[in-house]
Amino acid sequence: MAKGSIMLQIAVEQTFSAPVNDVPEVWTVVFAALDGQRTVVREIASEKSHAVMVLAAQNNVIVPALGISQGVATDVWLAFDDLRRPPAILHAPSHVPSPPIDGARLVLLRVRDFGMTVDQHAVISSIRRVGSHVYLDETVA
Amino acid sequence: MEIAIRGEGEVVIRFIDRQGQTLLQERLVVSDPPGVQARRYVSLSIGTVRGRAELAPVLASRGTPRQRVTFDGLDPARFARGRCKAIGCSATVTRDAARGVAPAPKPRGTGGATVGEPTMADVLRTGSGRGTAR
Repeated sequence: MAKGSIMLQIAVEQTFSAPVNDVPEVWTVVFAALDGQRTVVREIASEKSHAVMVLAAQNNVIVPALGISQGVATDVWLAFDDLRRPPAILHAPSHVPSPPIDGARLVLLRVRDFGMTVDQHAVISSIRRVGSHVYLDETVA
Repeated sequence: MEIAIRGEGEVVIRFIDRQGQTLLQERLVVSDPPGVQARRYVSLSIGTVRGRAELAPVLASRGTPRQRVTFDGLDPARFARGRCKAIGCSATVTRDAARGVAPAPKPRGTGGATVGEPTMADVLRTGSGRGTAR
């Protein structure tokens, strides 16, 4: 058997009530089983929407500069029954079909974005939304 | 703490302090094939202007009753009850947390990014013609 067309998707939204000293990182995975047939990954994409402000917590404090990426790190892992065989890892963004990969038993979509920390003289106000998806086809090899 | 989700849908987790105030809300949306699973790892403390705050996770909602959620392998109510006791919540806060009751995050303090969205369940009800007539 083969699973046919599959979409895997995960989104994380962080909303804070008040400014904080550290914003937790995003590290999340979503995964599903495959039948070990022929897999072609059609698309990997991600989106990020992020508002962030760094504020002084006291007078006469120089607020640190902060650089925030426009995107998140997204990759897709295809893992095999034979653990000696390294997983195939494909990175986003990708909008053309991958080469066919035979024998994968697990597809895993990983999404990562950085945490942020400032010392007690400053605080961070933030809202962050990240989301990623992968479309793939598993057909009989 | 490991958040494990089995099955598709939207999960809302509110992280409360010992007073029962929500400091952080995380909304996790998982799609799609049957048997899909997700994992997320989170810290149960956060730095605030008043110092480090210990947090307890409260499972405020999930997509469907069939969607399974665990915190470090435990039922969320059980985990929340134990964590609330560990960080010194009152009996009322502990009981509410175990029932999935925690306030929505409300912007506090000077300056900040804000968001005020209607809940999608209400929007979907209205869109499908099942909303309350006004």
